[in-house]
Amino acid sequence: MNAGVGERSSADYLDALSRGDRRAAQAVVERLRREGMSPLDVMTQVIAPAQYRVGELWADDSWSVAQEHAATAVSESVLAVLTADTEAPGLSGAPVVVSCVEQEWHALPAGLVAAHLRAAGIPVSYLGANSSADQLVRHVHELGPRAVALSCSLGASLPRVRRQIEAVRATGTPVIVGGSAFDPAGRRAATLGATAYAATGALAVPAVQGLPRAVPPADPLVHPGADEAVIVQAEREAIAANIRRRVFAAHPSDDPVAETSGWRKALTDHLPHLVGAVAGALVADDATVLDDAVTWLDHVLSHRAAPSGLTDELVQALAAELREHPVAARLLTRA
Amino acid sequence: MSSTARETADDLLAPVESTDVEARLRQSSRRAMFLAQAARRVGGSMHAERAVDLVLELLVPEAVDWAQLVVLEGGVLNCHALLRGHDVQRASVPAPRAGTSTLGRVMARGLTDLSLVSMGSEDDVDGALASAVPAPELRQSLAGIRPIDLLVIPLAARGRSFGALTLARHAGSGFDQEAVSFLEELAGSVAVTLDATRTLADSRRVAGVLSRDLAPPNLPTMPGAQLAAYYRVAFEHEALGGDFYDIHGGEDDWTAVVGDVCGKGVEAAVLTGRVRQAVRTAALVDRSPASILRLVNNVMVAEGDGTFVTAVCARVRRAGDDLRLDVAAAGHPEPYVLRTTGELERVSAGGTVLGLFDDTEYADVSVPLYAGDTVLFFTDGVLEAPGFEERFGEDRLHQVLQSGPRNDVTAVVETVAMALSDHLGDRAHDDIAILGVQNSAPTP
Repeated sequence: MNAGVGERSSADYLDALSRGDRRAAQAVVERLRREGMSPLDVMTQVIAPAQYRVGELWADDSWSVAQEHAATAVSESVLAVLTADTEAPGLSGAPVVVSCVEQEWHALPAGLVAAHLRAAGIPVSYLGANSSADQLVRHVHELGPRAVALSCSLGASLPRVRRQIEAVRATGTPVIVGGSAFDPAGRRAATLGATAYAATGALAVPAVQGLPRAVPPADPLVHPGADEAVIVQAEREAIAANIRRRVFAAHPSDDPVAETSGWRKALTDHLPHLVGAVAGALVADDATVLDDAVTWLDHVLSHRAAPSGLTDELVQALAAELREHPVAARLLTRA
Repeated sequence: MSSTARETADDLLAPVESTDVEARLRQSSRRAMFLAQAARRVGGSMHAERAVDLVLELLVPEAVDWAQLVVLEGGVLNCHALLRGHDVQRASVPAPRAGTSTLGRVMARGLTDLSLVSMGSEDDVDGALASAVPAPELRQSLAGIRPIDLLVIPLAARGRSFGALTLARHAGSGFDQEAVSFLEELAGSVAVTLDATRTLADSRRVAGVLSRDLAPPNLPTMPGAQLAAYYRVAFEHEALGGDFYDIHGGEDDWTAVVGDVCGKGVEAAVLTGRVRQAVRTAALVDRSPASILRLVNNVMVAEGDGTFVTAVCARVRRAGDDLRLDVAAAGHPEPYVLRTTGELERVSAGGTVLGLFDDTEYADVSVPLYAGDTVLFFTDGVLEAPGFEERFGEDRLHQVLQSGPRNDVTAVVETVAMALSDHLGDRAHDDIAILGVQNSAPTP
C-alpha cells in the first residue's frame, strides 16, 4: 500500500467519524483489510491518529460534544470488530487478561495491547472498555491468567488503577500497566504497585514474557499524600460541586442556557476529572499528573471563551477546598 | 541468589540448638511469617491449578530443593512438581491402590512418611522413589538430588485425604522433627485452601453452564434493521441480574422484549429465564404484544409465587421502507423513538405489571419507525441510576439522546451507556438494560 492510499483512507475515516457514520467507518476499515493491512496497522495508522485528531477538534471547540461522542462511539464499535479479528484460536495456555481501567471508555490502547500479544503468540482474554474491579477479579478467578494488563489514559483514573492492582495482586496474579496516564520512565506505575510497565503496546510483549508467575499482595502505600488520595477520591464530586458553585457565582450569566454550553458546560463536565487528577497525583506521588490536567483544562476553557484567569481561579478554589490536606495543598500551590 | 536461598532455607528448616534461645525465636518468627504469607498467597488465587503452582513456588526454593503436589481426581492422580530453577511440570497417573506405595499409604492413613533414599544402584533408587513419585517424567527432575531426603505429607480436608505433598532436600540438609511439624502445619493450611479452591471450581463450572442460559442472548441479524444492546448488572461479581432483553422471530416479523423482574442477582436471573421462555412460547400462539403479555401474566399468576415482572413487548414488522412497531407495556418505562430529525417521542403504552392480577388486559400501540429512526427500550435502572446529587432521570436521558449521535444505533446505545457510567461514578446501582432497534432501510 502506498502513502497516498493511506492518507485517503485516514481522511475517509475521519470524515465518517465527523458524521458519526459507523457503516462508512467500517467500510474504510474493511477496504484496508482487503488490501492486506493487518488489524494492528489499521489501529495504529488509521484509528489511533483519527481519535487523537477527534480529541483535538473537541478540545479546540471545533467539534461539539455530540460529534465527539458519536465519533468515539463509532471508533469503539469499529475497534471491537477489529480486536475480534485479531483473535488467534490456536493459542492455548493461561491467557493475559487485557482491560481498560474501570470508568474509562477508550478501548484503543487495550485493543492495541491485545493485538500485539496475540501477534506474539500469547493468548489473550480481552475485556475492553470500562471493566469494574469486580468483573476483573471474577475473570481472574475463572481464568487463572498469567497476568492482567491494564490500560489507563487519564490521570484522574490512577486511584482506580491502584484499586485494581490491589484486587488483582491479592490473587497472586502479576499486573502490567500502560497508557498515557503513566510517565515514560514508569515511575508512577512502580509507585502504584504494578508488577511491570509497558510504555507502548509493542513493549507489552517483552513485559509479559519477563513476568514472575506469582506475585505477593501489593504493599500498602506509605508515601506522604497516599492517605489524602483516598479522601480526595471519595470526596471528589462534592469538592467539584462546591468549586463549580463558587466559580459560577463569581461569573454570573443572564442566559438561562449558559450552563449547558460553552466554558460552563466544559467546566461542569471536567471539574470532577481535575479533582480526580489531584487524587491521581497524590496516589502516584507525582505532581506532574496534576500539572498535565491543569494545562489540558486551561486549553479547553480558553477555546470556549472562558474569562481570562479562570484556570488560576480554579486552582485557587481547589486549594481552598483542600486546605486541610497539607500534601494536596502543596501540590496546588505548585500548580 | 542461590546462596541467599540456601540461607533462607536453613533459617526455616535447619535444626537449632535448644540452648540458643535467640536463634530459636528468630526461626519461630520466620516460620510464622512464612505460614501467614502462604495462607495469603494461596488463598487469594481461587483457581485450582494456579493455587497448586503457588504452593509449589512458595516451597521451592525457599524451603526445599524440589516439591511435588498430587491431587486425587476421579481415579486419576494429577501430579505437579517443581525443581529449583525450573518451571512446574505436570503428569497424570492412575491412582495408587491404598497401601501399595508410600503415596497410597500416606493418603490412606493420613500420616506423614519420612525416608532417606541413598543406597543401592540407580535402578533400586528409582524404584524406591517411584513409591512416592509415580510419574517417571517427574522422577527425572529428582535425578540431581542424591542422596535424598523425602518427606511425604497427606493433604486432608473435610476428614479425608485428597492428595499429598512430597518434599525433597539433599540428604544432610534433612528434616528434623520440628521441621516436619512446621511443614505439616503448612500442608494443613494449604490443604484447606486447595480444597476450597476445588469446591469453588466445581460450583463455578455448574454456575457457568446455568448462566450461559440466563445471560442476555447474542443479538440476531435482522434484515433491514440494526440492533444494539447494553447490559450491566447490579451484582457485578455474579454477572447475572434481574433485567433482561430478548429478540426473536424471522424474516419480516420480530418480537422484542425488555423487562425487569423483582429482585437482583441469581434468583432474579432464574426468573428472567422463565419469563423469556414464556414470551417465546406465547409469541408462537399470537404475535400481538398485548396478547403475549396477557398470556405471560396468566402463566405467572397461575404459578402464584408472588413475584412480579415489568416488561415492554414490541412486534417489529417491515412495511415498505418503514418498520411498523406494535408496543404493549406492563408497568415498564415507556420506550423512546428517536427520529432522524432529532425529535424524541415517547411511546405511551401502559399496563399493569405481570404476575399480580388474573386476566389483566393489555393494549397495543402502533408507531411507525421511518428509515433511520431508532426505538430505544430500557429498564428503570437507567432512569433511577444514582448520581452525586440526583438520579439520572428522564431530563438527562432526553438531553443525552438529543445532543448525541442519531444515525447509528450502536453509537446511540453506547452514548447513553457512557453518560450513565459518568453519572454513576463508584455508586452502587440497579441492573440496567438497554435495547435499540434502528430501521436501517436506506433513507429516502
